[in-house]
Amino acid sequence: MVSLGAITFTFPWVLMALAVLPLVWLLLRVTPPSARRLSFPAILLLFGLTSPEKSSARTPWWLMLLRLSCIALIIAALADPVLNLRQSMRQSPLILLLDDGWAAASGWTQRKNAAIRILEGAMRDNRPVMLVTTAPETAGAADALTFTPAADALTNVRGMDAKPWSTDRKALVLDRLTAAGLQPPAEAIWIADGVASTADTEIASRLQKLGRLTVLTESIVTGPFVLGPADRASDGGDNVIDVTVRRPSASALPSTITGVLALDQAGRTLARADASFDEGQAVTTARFNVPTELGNRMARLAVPDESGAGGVYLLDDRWTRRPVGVVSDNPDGIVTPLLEDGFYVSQALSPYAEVRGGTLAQLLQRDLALIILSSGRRINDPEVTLLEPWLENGGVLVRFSGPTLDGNVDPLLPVRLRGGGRTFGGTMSWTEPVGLAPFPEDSPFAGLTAPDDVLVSTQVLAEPSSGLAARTWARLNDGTPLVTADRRGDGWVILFHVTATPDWSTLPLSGVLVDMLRRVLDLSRGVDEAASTLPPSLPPQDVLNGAGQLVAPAPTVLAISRDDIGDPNIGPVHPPGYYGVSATKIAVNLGPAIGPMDAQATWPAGASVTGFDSVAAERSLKPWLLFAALALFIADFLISLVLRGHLFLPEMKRASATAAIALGIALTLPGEGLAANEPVPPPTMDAVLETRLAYVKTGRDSTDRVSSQGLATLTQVLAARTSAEMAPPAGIDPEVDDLFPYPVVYWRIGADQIPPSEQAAGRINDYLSRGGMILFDAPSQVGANEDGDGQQVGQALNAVLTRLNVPPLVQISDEHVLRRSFYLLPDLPGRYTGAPLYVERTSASNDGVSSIIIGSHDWAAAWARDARGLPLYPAVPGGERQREWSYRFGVNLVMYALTGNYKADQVHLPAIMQRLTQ
Amino acid sequence: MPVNAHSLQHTAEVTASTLPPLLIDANRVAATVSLGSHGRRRAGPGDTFWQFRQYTQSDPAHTIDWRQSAKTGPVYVREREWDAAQTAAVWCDCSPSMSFRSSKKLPEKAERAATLGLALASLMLQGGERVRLLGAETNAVSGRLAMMEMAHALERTLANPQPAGIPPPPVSLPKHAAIVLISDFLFPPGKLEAAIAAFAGSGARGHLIQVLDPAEESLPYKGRIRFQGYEDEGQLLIERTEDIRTAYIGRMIEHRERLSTAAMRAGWTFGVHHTDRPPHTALVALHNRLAEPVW
Repeated sequence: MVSLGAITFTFPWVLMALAVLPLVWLLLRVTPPSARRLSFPAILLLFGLTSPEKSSARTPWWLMLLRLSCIALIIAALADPVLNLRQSMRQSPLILLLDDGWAAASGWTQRKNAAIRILEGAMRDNRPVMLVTTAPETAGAADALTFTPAADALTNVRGMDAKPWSTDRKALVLDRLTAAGLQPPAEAIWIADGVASTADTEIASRLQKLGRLTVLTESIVTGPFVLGPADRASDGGDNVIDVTVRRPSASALPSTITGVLALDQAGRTLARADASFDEGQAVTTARFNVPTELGNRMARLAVPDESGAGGVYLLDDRWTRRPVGVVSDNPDGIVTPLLEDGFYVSQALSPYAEVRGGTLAQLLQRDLALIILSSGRRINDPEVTLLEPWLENGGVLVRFSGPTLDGNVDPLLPVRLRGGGRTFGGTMSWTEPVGLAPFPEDSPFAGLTAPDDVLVSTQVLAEPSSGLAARTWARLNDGTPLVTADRRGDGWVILFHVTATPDWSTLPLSGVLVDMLRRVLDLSRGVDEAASTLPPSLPPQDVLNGAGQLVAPAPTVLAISRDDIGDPNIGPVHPPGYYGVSATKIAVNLGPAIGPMDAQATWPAGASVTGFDSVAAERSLKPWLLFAALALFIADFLISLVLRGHLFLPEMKRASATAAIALGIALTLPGEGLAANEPVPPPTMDAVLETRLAYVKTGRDSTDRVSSQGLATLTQVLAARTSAEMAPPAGIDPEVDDLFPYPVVYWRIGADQIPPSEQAAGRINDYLSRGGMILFDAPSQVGANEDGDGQQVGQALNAVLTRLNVPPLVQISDEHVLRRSFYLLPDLPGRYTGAPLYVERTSASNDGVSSIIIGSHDWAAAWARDARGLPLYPAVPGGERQREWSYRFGVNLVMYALTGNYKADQVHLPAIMQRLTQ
Repeated sequence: MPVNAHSLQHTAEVTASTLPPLLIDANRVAATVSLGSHGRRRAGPGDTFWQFRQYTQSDPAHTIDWRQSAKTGPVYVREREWDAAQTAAVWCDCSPSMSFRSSKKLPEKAERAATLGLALASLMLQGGERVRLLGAETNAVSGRLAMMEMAHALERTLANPQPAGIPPPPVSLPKHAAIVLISDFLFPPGKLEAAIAAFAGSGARGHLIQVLDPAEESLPYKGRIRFQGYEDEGQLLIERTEDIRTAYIGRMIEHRERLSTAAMRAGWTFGVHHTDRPPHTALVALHNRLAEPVW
């Protein structure tokens, strides 16, 4: 094998044949080109004549060069040159170990391409291939390893994707290799994912004993990164989410920073956080600080540029669901807005949370993060027994006050209340309504601005006690508490000392209530389905594929039992993804399930470790060389024909023609014609020279015949009645013909109308925008079409119109110019009548002339007459009188198209008349 | 080029329509005995009165015009003018070598020869003459029917060219007929001399028209060419055709001289027509030569 740069010749001894080229040169030199043959009647007179010299009997040098290069190309092709040929054990079997776990997802395309190139090379060498993948394919035991033809392995690899679960090299590689009982020699190539396993050393040494081991791996190790678990930060409040980011640990880890993105359902980036690894650090944390409304939209966290299930952390309802229950005693919910107490809080919270209404018992049937008791009534005992366990589990209960609130018997109040309320600024009082004091620093409302316009005229008062100040979240100017709160288990009970209606204060009307309720909402926990409330079996909803995208689960994916949801065995049976029924969606993430990772660092001595790029595509140059030789041969053939006079090139000196052929073959560059020199197509030329109507050829003969006959008759009618004397109508095909020469185009839509192609649609749009006019006629009446009902015609019309730039349309008005451009027409009938006619809403463009008219009266059928002048189709229901009206419509239409809004200038008429009469 | 009888006839008639009907000098054919439309300016069989002459003993009795004799003393015999039609025999060479043309813009020589021949026939038929084709005998010899038949016969010959020399004069050819030979005459002059001798024996007077392609006249080719004949003449490789051009033209002139000499010796005429010229020129020349009285 001889290599010449990147080119390797498989059979280099064939190249020795190049030595005969000089011989061929000599041979070609002495053999003159075959003479041109010419039959000549007067040959009798030529006999005995001889030309004095033989100078022209030489093959021209360029022709010799052509022939020699042709031969050289063939010789080179026979030597079978291959570009980027891999030096390998070409005779021994090949073991291809392909890591296809989650860690291989980054750079999977390169891995796959490398594998494909290796297998293509093996196929060329007819080597048997043992393809070993390291991630389990199915739940059961993997098949035994066998050698297969390279083509089969190639087919397998082409259809292979990275798996969203971990590799199991011990079971899938080591044990199976042992079972296969391999004998040397064999070449092994391991496309490794970089994450170590305990079996790696054993595998590598065993493979190397078979022959040679080549390891292809990522050249620069920065990943793969693993996300998760994520949780709300313990020290940062509810808006801060910490997510653990890990990478395989190794002896010399460089410091690096990777981003982590928070994405919503549609994949839009909501936030970005950086995870910075110090040198040698394998685990770090990325911190998101996002507002609740953004946080509620977060659907997943992902490492950018890291495709793979390990770099994706799915967020489920626990993270986003904050349903709010507004207790209303009316089972129908809020019926009188502004008056009912639940109205204001519902309005305040509905942009930020899912607000449900209903009685307390109804509400508590489902999970709630926050319950608002807005009515200010006391809670009775059955309700207390309902609420207590919910509060213990972290529920937040917000209560508003009211006249009937009884601070002494109500157990679910943060503070004890004094009996009766306190009223300021009443008609009988000298005191003024009191405003809000700034929010205390330690309250959840800290940071909100207390507005001046919140005035409280009535409130309930807390019984002074030692803990009152700590429980007070908001105060009035006089120091009395406005909002108090107390813990109940993991939850909160929060009391607003005013009503939820503006009766006692202007707080419900103020924006600060919205802010306060949102702060309260942030206090509440996402609803975490308790394991016990989950259905016993959680079927898969969407699962991640190897590339980290959510896809529909394969049939082999099984439901996870309720007990295992905390620690599912992620694998082919349970890939990461969403499990559960529609109401509850539990995210099963790969990241937390991956144990500590080490980078694959040590390889046995003698194994060659390279990157994926080292496997450049092997490419046989043989077909290309043969193709070039064939091209040269054809060129030589043509040139010979010309030289012998068998191929005549008219209008050209023969010598220059020969050169042109040689040149043309050498540079087969497509010439680009000059647009200005393009001949005008004959139909366009005809249309330009004489004005004529046009119809769009639909491809259906019957439809086109009606259009053609109809327009032909209309042209005659126009010539008889008006000064518009036009040439016979033209049928045009927007796909090929120009529309611009035609003042108006009639388009009769049939059920099988094919929508125009993009090019044709562009042409039509151009025509319309430059002042053209198209009358769409979609006769949908029974009997108007040979096949297809009206609905299909409508659909066909829709399909056509969606391709076009249709301006806003209105039904034609009684004053529309179309009704009076020539005749005064109360109706615009065709073969049928009564259907509406749509025109462009008055537009400033095109002089206010509608570019599109859409109707369904089948005008062409009404107009159409045969050669003897007899109508072809009956006009229903009006008979011949209706047909006359249809002609008048046609005349008006053409006049409208030709004269534009000329007749719309009626505003000037009085002035003109006045001038004329003076 | 496929030659259609109708189109051939049409071309021929269009060509001929620009000339007056050809009247052949009746004197040249005094001895031919067919009745025809021209008076021969002498007494003989015919319908028109010619002269009264005095009875001689050899006259049959029924020729005596008794009324004229009764008016005067001597016995008179009524003589009528001798009517006779000229017979022309036309030969269009349709041998393979005549199917040559040097350019697609030019007609083949055979096609031009056929056009000329038919045009001549058309003129003569209009003039009431009798026309026959040599080599392709037709039944009718006068009238439009003859024209049609000749066109068809020529078409057949053109479609299937055979290497045939000048046909010998047919037995039925009247004496003193006009012979028109249209060919390229690119064969040894001896053949032509022999043919002329054969026709001249019957007292016919002939006209030769040599139809040549301009390329045959000037040999405009260059370079290495292997020339082939049309009729088994063999092959010839010329290395530089442009070198022998002068010699060739000299030979062509020489050849034509010999043809012309052979024609002159027999009292025949000789003309050259090139296919790049309109056929009318040749027809006019031929017309003049046919009408020219030769005493």
